[in-house]
Amino acid sequence: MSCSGCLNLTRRQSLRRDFLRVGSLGLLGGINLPQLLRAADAQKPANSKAQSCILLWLEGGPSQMDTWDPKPSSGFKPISTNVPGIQISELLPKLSKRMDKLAIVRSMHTRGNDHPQGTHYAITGHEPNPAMHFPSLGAIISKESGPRNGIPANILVPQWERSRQYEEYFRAGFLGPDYDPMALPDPSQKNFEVADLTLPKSVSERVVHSRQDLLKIVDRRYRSMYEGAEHANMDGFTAQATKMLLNPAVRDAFDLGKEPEKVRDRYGRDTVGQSVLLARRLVEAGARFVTAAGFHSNSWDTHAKNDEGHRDRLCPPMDRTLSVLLDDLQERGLLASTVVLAMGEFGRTPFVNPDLGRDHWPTCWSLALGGGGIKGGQVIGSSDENGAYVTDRATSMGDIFATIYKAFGIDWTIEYDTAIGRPVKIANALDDNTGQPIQELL
Amino acid sequence: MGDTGFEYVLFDHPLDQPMGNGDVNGSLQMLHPRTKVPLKPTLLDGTVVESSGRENPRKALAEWMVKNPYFAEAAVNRLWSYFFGRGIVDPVDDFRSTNPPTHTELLARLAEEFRSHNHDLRHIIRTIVTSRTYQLSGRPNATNRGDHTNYSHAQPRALDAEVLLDAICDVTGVPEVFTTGVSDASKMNAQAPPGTRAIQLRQPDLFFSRFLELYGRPNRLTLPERNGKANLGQALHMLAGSAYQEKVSAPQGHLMQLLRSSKSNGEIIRDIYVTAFARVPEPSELEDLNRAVGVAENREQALGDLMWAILSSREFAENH
Repeated sequence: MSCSGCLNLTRRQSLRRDFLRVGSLGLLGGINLPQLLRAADAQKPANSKAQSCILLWLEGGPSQMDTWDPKPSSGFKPISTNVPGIQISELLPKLSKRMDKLAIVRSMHTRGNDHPQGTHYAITGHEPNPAMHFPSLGAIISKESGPRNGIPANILVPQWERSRQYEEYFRAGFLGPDYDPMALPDPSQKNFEVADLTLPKSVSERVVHSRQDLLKIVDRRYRSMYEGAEHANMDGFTAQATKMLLNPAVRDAFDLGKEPEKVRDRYGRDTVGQSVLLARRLVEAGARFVTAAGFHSNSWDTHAKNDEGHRDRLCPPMDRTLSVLLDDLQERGLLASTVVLAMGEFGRTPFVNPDLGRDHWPTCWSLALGGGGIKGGQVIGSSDENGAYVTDRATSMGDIFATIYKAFGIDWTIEYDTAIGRPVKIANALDDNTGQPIQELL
Repeated sequence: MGDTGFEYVLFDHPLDQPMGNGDVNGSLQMLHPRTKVPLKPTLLDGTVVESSGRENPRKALAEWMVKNPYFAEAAVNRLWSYFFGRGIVDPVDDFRSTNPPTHTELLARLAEEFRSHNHDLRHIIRTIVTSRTYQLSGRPNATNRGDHTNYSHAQPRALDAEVLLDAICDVTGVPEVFTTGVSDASKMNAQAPPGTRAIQLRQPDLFFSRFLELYGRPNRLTLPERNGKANLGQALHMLAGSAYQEKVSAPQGHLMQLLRSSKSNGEIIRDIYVTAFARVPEPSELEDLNRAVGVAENREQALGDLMWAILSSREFAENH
């Protein structure tokens, strides 16, 4: 095999694709100077620093006015932060002292009015379509960045115990199982252990090797008789898995017991805290995208008693754990290379229902992000006096994705082709537009 | 999707039991999720199905589907792909003029056979598996080595998840227990009846199975319905997972029974080969394996390792 041959082929293909892209744009008459400039800019995003991303998944949908976008309609007061001019809800006192590290987007405008649709939209940027398996943000970042240090690139912790349908949305869809998240059990449980990552006691390194020797003898006849792509695919994964299982560093990355008790306490001993701590540990070891989804059994879906829920059971763990994460990443010198994104699938209604709850509201909501070169201490966009509608800078999921891709140095204008040749944007904004990075954040 | 209840009209369900979903009442009616107004089943072309009492609306859907001019081609193509690893139109859900069938006459003939036999799936399966094409050897020769689309020889392909799991259970002699993951064991159907094989699970997605998850379980809500591609999780499970480790060394399992018998290593190797591969080992294989097992310090460990190697081999895990 000559390597220059491969290179030539790849280059020829990419030239052909560029030609087609430019050609079709020209034919449609849709090409203009800003687009061309953007396309050139997109080829080599400047100052890309991010190596990893931690998504703190606020399952159920937090109330924007009781967190990042305080309003008179909230039952809680606004408080000042360490950034002059930015106020957030009094329910987030610890985060108010770290506002310089996080940017708030107060003008999220998305689709999907119930949890399945909203979750699918928030994590893939696309509305659900029964005929399609869209890749999630984590799968796309994993594909574009590739694994590091033998650690799986895409990880989800903890997995859903019942609503497995949600886990499906966090997968790689048509990109295939290579980029699916490795789903882990709840790390706050006493018997927490990652399946299939530890060789059974009876299987030493020597046994692994003698098994491989036996396997060679057993497979000799078959492999000489049959040829198949199946062998080659599985052989690659087997080699990778063997390396992982025999590398103590990989196993250690998943071992929360290696963290000092004091650190485990700081993050919080509940599922939220331990999931985020494990995410930090995995990112430090080389993971690209970790979804810390510790709110499964403590959901932000406050259809009843919204204020009590936010005050007593939801904001405190988020305030604590997200603050500790930002501090910890900074102390370890990882904040500059780790994007932190805290969001749910939508916001909540500006009015309170008869059960003193707030219902689903994708029309206008807030999220927070920082790290990985994203400049904190800023507010992007704004909502009206009730937090009901976007008044400035409507921001779609595709814009958030594009911002994160740019932080990673990934070309956000990429489209993937499905098996049948349907192009799918990796940063899909509303109305079939391509998402654009939020310039102030980078 | 799922939680809204929209899909429930298509689910198998006993007619005399409530659907267990707030949006669907006991008489199989769909209610609009927001307005709670009863909805009438409507076919894709807009025809409203006037349901007569408790008749399952799936029947009307089935009658409408078979009238579609593309139905027979699409159905036999899918069946064909189950047996050959690729469709006559491939991918199987991509019928269009610019993706023509590899064998136009064959597809037309099979579809005609399907229509004229009252859409009898068994008839088509019988026709396919008794064909010369299906029975061809998987061993390529000098002239057909490069062929992967014209059925000159069988193409090895990975066993489906359920088949592989059942085969591992057969060789190790340790059946799988399927539970729904509902921790309340007193609930009905929390566990499939003892002895249930993976291929017998009626709604596999209701049962928790790490193995089926890793190797690709059928998914009824989206297309493609199954993704059995090799992945890292499979490899980790093969090296360290329970299906491969615990089953091999289970006290009541096949291997431990063999070890308790007075059989020689050679006899045990031969026995496992016949169970796993339906053939006896060749003399050179038997000689090499016998030597490898013979020099090991721990006989039980060595034969366990051999059984692991057999379960992990491509000869075992592929249909060839």
